[in-house]
Amino acid sequence: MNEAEKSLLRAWGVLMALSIALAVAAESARPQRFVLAWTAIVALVALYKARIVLAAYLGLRQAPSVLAGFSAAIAVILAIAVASFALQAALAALA
Amino acid sequence: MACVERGPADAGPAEGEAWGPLSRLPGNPLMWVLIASELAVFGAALIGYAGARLRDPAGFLAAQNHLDRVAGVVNTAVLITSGLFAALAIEARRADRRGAARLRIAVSIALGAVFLAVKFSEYARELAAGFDIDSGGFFTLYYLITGFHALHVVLGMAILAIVARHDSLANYETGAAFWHMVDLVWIVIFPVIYLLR
Repeated sequence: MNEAEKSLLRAWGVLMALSIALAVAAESARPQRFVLAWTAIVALVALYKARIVLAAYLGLRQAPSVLAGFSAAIAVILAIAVASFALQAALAALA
Repeated sequence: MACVERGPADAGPAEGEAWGPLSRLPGNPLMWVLIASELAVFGAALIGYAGARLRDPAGFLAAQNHLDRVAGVVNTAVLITSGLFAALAIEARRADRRGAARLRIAVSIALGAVFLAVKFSEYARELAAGFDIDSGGFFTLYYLITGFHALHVVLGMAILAIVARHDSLANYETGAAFWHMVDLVWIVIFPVIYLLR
């Protein structure tokens, strides 16, 4: 196994570990007041996983500007998802 | 995965440079245009989902609680592993180990089939429980977004099968790039639809 293959295996290991950790955390009970924090954590982990796929699997580590562009696009999507929860909390507080 | 090393059958330098920064990416530059477009489509769908959830958070939460999150996690692991084998296939092809490359692509395709089997068994259970595409805003978006993604999995499997037959390095990189896009989209869909609640 060459160095590139070892690097891919390491990336896979991190992706699997994060996926399993997130799944276990998702099944644990959370007080309602932590919903926003939970949402932000899930989004950050998803963004990190996406970055690993972009950098290691898709090979964009060699093209940092393209990696940054795709990462930014995914960050915007996830940020909007998190913002919808923040807005929901704000609307509930106003009601 | 290193950047593209074009084989003799690929475009010449003049044509290759015509794609600007895309010329330096692995595989066919047009695939990267497609990947960006697909990401935009799925992004728009997920933003639409976030907006719809905001209008009916209680309804969405109740519906989300009927999803099988274990199946979602299993499918995440399956796609991540499938992506690994697609990337490993490129490394094998780069080292001119064509048999190993084909075997690894075959594993990727097989794992794609596992993903679809898990997804359709999930759909079957949800439909049996009375949740179809007309069962409220959440399920309409859920079936549309995940169904559209499943369609991309089918298309990706077909592309990988073609790549295994026409096995230039550039074809491997192009096919794998599409497959990783499918993986990437699922990595965003899964938390937004299954976990954020």
